[in-house]
Amino acid sequence: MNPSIEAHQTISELLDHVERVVVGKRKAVKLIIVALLAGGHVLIEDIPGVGKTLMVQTIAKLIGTDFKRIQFTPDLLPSDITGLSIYNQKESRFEFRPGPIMGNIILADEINRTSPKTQSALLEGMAEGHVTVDGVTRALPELFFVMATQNPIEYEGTYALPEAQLDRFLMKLSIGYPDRKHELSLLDRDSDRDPLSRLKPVLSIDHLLYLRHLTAAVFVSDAIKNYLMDLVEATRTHPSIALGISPRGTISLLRAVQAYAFVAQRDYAIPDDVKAVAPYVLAHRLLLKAEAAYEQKDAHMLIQEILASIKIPVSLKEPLQ
Amino acid sequence: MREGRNSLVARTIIYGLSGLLLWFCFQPLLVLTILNAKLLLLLFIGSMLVMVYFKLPKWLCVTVCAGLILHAVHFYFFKAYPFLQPEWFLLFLGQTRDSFHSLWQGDAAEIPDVFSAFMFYLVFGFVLFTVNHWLEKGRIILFVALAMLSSLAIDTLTYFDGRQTIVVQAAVALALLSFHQWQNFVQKGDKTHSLRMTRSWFAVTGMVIAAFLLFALMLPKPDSLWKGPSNYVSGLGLSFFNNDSFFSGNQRIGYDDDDSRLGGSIAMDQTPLFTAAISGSPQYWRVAYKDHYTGHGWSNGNRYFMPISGSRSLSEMLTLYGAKTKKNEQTAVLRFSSSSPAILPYAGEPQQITVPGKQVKLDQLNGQLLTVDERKADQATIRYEAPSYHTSALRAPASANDPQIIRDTYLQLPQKLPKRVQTLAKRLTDGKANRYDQVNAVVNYLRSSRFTYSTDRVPVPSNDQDYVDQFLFASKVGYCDNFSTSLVVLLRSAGIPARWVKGFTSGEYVRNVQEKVKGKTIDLNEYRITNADAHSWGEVYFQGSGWVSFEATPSFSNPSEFASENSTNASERSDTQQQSGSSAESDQNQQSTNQKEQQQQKDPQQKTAKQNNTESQTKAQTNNAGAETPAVHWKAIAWTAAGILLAAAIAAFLTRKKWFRAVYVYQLHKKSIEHDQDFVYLFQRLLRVLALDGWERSDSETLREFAQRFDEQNDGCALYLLIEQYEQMIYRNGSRGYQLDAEQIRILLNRTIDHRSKVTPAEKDLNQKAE
Repeated sequence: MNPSIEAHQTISELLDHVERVVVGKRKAVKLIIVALLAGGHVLIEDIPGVGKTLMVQTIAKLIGTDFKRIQFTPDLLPSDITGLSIYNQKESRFEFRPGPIMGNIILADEINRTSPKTQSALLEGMAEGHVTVDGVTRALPELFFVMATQNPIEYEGTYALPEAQLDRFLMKLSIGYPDRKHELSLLDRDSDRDPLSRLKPVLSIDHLLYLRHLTAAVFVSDAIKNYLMDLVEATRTHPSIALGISPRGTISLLRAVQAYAFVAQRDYAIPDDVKAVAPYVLAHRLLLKAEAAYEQKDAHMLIQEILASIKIPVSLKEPLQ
Repeated sequence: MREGRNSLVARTIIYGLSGLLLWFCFQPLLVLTILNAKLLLLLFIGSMLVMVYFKLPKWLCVTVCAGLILHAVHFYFFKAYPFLQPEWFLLFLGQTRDSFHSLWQGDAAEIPDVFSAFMFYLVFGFVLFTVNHWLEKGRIILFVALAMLSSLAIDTLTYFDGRQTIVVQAAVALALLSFHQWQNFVQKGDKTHSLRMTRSWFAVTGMVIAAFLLFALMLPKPDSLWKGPSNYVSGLGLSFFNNDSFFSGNQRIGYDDDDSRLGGSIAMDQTPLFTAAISGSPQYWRVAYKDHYTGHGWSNGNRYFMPISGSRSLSEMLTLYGAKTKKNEQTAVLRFSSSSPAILPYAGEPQQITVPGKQVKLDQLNGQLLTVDERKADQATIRYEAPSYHTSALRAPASANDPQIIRDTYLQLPQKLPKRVQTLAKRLTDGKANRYDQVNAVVNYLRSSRFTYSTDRVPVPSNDQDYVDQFLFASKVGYCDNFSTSLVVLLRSAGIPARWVKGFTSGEYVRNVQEKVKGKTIDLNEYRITNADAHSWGEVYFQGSGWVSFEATPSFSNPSEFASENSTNASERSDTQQQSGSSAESDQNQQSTNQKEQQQQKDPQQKTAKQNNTESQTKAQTNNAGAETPAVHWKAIAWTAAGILLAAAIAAFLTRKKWFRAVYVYQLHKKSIEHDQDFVYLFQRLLRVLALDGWERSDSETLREFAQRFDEQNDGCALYLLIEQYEQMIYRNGSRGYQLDAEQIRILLNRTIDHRSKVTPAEKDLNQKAE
């Protein structure tokens, strides 16, 4: 069997399973899997109680790994994340106790409730793939996927993440309330108290890393790349945007597009992929001017505006080979 | 950079086209008013537009504008004075002051042309600045609308015929609007498709304008239904527009030095030129005579001026009458008004002329008197001899041939003079015993009711038409120039030496004045001569009597006295139509009997002539008809063809969507799908067909979004399947995973084209297969 077809089947299986637990959130689930395949991290900004934790738990269980959860509080210290060396009196030496960051899948809950210092400890790990504790650099596992959640900025007692750190998340999305039908089904499911416990892993970490490899090989034509560049350049010249997309943002967008195409079971990207991921990949990287606020526009609206203004490549520039 | 260049190009073209449009708006003024110097107006518009185009400082523009206006005034009215000296300017200032005075008095008719011209140029200046303002602010539509409106108004309300120019003007206006719109596009800065759009935009507008030009110029333009709009304008009480001298355009008004091109209507302008206080009976005032007829008018010929000084008296230099003509010495005092041209008219045979403070010279070839500096004189006193011809002397058979010099000069006729003029002259003069009767025969012919005296609706002869021939045989409507020139040409054709004289009629009697001439106070009758009194007549050479004036124009009477041998007192106007039987002189009786006899003799001749005439006319008409028949047919065919073409073009344009769609659908059905290129080509055709059907993909819509939108409405997924295939062609690298075969593609294409029908079962199978 064609390896990519097999991979596509695995992906759709993964999606179906997550959806069985987290009902009515197929889009969010799909985007999270896109981020997982693209090797990026996800920031979920949403109110409590919409199923963020459940979603991460489900994904972790399906990959057959455990997930670590860090509840960020104002008094959390960096060492609470990275781990610390403790003096072992029996053996008379310092012994490193790894922190929760040393896991494969991490749920960083309410990341904006802790101090910037502590936030940066996590973000360093996310960006560089290793942490330094007591002068020793320790590599993080190859599959290292962070799902951070944050309360909407307007809420009391929060420390907003600086732009440079937001840039390290591949996507920022919100889960939102389920619709009435799905929420009703939630109520009916009361008897089945723990749907998680019955889940079986559908793929291994190695398999996932192989899928990531396949994802990176998704073909993106020059036309699509130019389309990406048009988008990125438009964010840099837009009158309401103070700071447009950085080159890191461009690369992230390309990765996300590839992953989205892969999830859609294609080995080539199409403009629809770009349109689908662009709002989630780009919006949180923009720094808006005050004018945008006066016009009551947020980053998502601006991205949609830009998407609506850029011409889609639909014909061949050069003849077919 | 590119945008900058584009907008510069657009600005340049817009200014150029605006200049053209302005030029069209102002053009009627070249015809309607005396401001007829094309170059001057071009210079004015051109230099003003160039200045505002380069955004030169305001003060500079205004200064140059003022300079140009002054130059125009100088050009039209003060050419005799050097431009850089203040003399003419002071004169101009004085006239301007007087004009304001007249304006204040509400006497618009009194305003001299200088002031009108000045005000017109001032208005041109304002118009140009206003247009510049509009162009800067992008209010091109306003400008174009006003320009077209003004031209329409001029075409409607004046005799200016703008049928062709208005079409061209409209085309220019359309072009201007097209460029303006394009400029808007450029300014919006749609970089991605500016070039492609430019091409298609100008292709479309260019075609529209070309089609408009072609058909508008070809379409027949009937005469206006409203014949007398100018009367309507007069009715509005706009007295200024009744200023005939200003709004005379290229028409001749009153006295004009140049007679090389006669024809067309003339305006009757009542501007007083001079007053003449004379001692004797009223006389015609001669300015000059001319001897060379070109077929279009009287050429100015050479001039040979001799100053009149003490040693050579005027009487020696200018001899008009022979020994057999009786002369009465008379005196005239002429006073010239400010609007008079530089002329010194004289009556009879002048013996002595005195112009205070100035020397006088004589053009010996044309008999024209002028001051030595060729400027207008204020006053002139002339001692002249009024002739009184003896009819017997005139009737006396010539003892010998006319002198060679007379025959050389005054029998000249153009080579191209049509033969029928000569035939007519021969017919009129045949059988007359003497020259006097011959001349009278021609005069009577011209004064007969065959010809109508009129100053308007007189046609201008075309380049290959003879002025006299046109009048005698075609138009038969004219004024003094037509009659006098015809007289001279007919007489010359009959071998009688004659020449053409221009000047003024005796004018209108004003009052009795007392003038001091040479220390003596004498009673004189004062006459006022206006521009409308300008006149021309003929002069015939008689051996012994010299030059005798004849009046060929109906309703004018010859002021010369013709005395019979026997009578001493009785005078007879040569005008036979005005003859009254009250002064029943035997001579006259005899003469009238003679005439009657002549008439009787003439009658049969005339009848035959008439018959001949009618015959020849009919013949000519048949000939004409014969010659024109194919032309008419050809025209009809051309018009029909043009009409059909136009209708077809309009129909094709209106139904273009159907045509295009039919062509595309044909391709979609017929073109084979062998290669990927074929599919790509057909798919793009399919998108066009859908666009023509109202399913247009917006630029920012992906193919899938479009397909979803389309398929949702049309209850199917054919387009979606095709798009999946197409996407692989253009977004995918190398080999394809799954592929529709040619037959499936064909089915899907057809299904998409017939998107109004329902999904067929075969297609459902296909859909399932695809999934």
